[in-house]
Amino acid sequence: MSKEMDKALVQIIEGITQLICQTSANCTKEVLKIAESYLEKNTHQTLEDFYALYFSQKTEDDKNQINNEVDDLMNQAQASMAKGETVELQVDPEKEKNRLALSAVQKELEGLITLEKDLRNKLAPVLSSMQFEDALRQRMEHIEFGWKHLSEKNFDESSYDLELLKSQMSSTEETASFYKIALNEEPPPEDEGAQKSSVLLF
Amino acid sequence: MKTKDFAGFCEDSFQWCKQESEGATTSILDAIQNISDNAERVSSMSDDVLDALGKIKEKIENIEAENQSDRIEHLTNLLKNFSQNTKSIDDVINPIIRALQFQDRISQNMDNSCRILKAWAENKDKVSDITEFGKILLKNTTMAEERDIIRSIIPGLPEEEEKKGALLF
Repeated sequence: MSKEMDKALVQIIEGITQLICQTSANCTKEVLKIAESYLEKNTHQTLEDFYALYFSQKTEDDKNQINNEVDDLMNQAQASMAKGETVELQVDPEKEKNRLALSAVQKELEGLITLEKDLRNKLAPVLSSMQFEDALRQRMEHIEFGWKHLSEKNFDESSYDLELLKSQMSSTEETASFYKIALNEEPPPEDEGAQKSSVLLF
Repeated sequence: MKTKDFAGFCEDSFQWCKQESEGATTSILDAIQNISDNAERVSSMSDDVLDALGKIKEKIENIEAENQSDRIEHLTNLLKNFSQNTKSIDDVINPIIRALQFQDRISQNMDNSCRILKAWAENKDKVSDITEFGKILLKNTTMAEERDIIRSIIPGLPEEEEKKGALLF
């Protein structure tokens, strides 16, 4: 009977984490609406474009996939060079389009912040909301992933793939929490330049 | 790794997110300052709206609350008092109210997820009937959407009696 309850819990947690992510996305959309009343039109549009590209649910090329694509390109280049071959990269045109679009919008945002003195303060509420949504999504995905893994192993504690679970953690604080609480172990030493505990940089 | 220890890690993550939510709420309120400072320049906001925003800002600074939920309740009540008067004010204030309410919901979801995990750990080996287990979980929620999720997974649970909709919009 306990396994039945464990499985029900996994589904409930999955449902609630998805609800949380949706609520967070709704919140960011409202903050974008608030910003519409005090930002210049082109600045606001840039923010909306950035948000759409960064969090788009419709396209497969989310930011991690974009990063993976860049890694793939680097690997292709290194492999070709190691073989002494000419470097001819195979680029998926659709992925390339999204990668370039995101990086162009990021550059545009950086440019805007540098150009206008007080823009950082004006962008802060929107960017904080986006950062919060991003961090929240990651944490919720890790929780969801962990429970699904435990469920797939039929809650047999001896067969959990701990390396796989460890690999999901994305910040120093989350990793430390996972080691201390889930594994009852000392966390690994912090990497230089590791992510700070608060995600809200603005 | 013990499953209960993984649940403990999840609780810690939910608490971290709740703390971050407080920062995000403060950031939403900073937007009011931005509106006051810049609205005249970029939009045709009337003096009435700017006056209202100035008063709201003053009152926000004096709000004392025990926790995040109380704080958001005070804030939304304050904003609602300024709202409903004119459309131009509503257009500015309503997105702020909705954003604050969404943060409050996130904060409640975080607390309730922790309570659900605790209830599971305490009861999974004690309770033999899944419906009974579901009833225990329902008691650890505050939102209709959470209860809907539990009901959709555990059959035989009583239907919702009260009306849905903590949100005003």
